[in-house]
Amino acid sequence: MREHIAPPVPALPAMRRQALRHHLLTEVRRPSRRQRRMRVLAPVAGVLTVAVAAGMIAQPWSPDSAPLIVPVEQGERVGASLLLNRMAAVATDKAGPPSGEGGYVYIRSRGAFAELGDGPARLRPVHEREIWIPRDERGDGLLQQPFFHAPIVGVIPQRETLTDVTPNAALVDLPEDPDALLAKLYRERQQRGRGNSRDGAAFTAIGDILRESLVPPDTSAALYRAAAKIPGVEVVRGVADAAGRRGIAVAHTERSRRDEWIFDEQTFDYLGERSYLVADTVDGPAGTVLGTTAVLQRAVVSELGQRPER
Amino acid sequence: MRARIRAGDSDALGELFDQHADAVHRHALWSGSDPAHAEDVVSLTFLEAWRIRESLRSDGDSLRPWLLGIATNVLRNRRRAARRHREALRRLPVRDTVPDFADAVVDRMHDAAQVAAALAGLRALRRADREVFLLCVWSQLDYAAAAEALGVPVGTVRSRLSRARTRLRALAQQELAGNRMITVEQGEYR
Repeated sequence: MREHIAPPVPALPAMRRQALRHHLLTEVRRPSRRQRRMRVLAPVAGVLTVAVAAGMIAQPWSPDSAPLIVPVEQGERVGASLLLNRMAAVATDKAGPPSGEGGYVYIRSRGAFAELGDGPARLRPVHEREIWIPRDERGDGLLQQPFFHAPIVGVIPQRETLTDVTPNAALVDLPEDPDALLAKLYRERQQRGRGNSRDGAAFTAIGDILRESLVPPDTSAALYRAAAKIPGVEVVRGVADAAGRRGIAVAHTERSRRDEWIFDEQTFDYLGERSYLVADTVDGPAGTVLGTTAVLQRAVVSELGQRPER
Repeated sequence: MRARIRAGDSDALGELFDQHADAVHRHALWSGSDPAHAEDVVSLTFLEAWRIRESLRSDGDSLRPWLLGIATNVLRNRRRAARRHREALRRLPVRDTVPDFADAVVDRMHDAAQVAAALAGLRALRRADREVFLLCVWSQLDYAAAAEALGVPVGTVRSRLSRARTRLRALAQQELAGNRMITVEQGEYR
């Protein structure tokens, strides 16, 4: 052993170091308020017990739960348009949704979102969400997901009838020419993707369509080709969705927040979304996850509330 | 800096973290911690430093010896430190569980093999001698600083270091002779 040379050891990753620093300073600046917290938490157990007894998929959630921090990888600008155009080419070869009219588009997903404001963002528990969207005509839909209520820390199973829902057919009724599609999204910026820049709004709008609708292959292709034309879109590799499935992401960053659509790297099937901070902000250090989802099933069913076979 | 830390200036703690977190992290890894444990040691060291900040001497240069001394104590009795800062540790951001890319993993395995070989020798030392060796040789504190870190007289540092070197030389010769008796077992230093 050459004693004067210390063995090489892996460095503390910069993002992790930042997270530890942030945690340290938050801890030492934290006012002592244990007493109050105990009282707030006391009635919670009852609510959770009810939720568990009702068979809900829910994890106990405490306001002190640790924020989820992921490494912030460098995005690749040059690869994005190539990837999206390849995805478009593959999409047109895929089978479309079943033909015929009527019924509902059913989408089952899981995910978690952070609550913002009042310190670092903390993810609420991962939960399952099922939605029924009328297929052709505007009308009632249905949403089933646990309902989180912050002051009473707990979860209540909830089935909510949605009224006057825009049918799937209208959601996916989009120009097949990517330039025309993008122009439409830019024009409709006020209705879609509010609060973002023009490009951010278009990216958000496409993400909304990809997440909860049943898109015909040609429309998917048009959406991917339009996304390829949005300035600033990047590829991020080695990401995972809320179900732990790994994939490749198409990402857009705005105001220190990166939103990713995650796809299977081989089949280019849509897996889910992820969104996180890429810089230190009041909502937490870089890498703080603000949202993570995974689409588990898409199907057409004939009745509102009816579930397809898993 | 000492005065600011003593006075409870948390910005100064942030600067201290920026300057020394990597040194504390390396020290933990050299002491045989796995990566997750080493990160806990970093957090616990700085939380401990803050807790005992008023006991910091007002004179002196770098605070690195003080921090490495605290880190050494945390490593000796991690459970006690963890108990003391239980609430804070519970709020520690979780490590991402997504595995590294293949290249990074290979790099780390390579590093890990080298560290394991180096630690194999250290394991044969008494704990007190090993701590002095880590501080003086790998973390490159001078005798006085190591003495400060460990809270022992300078003469003690000198004699422990000398004993550590003699023992390591003997082991190196054994190893050259092909008589390799030392292996590292998982969790040896926890």
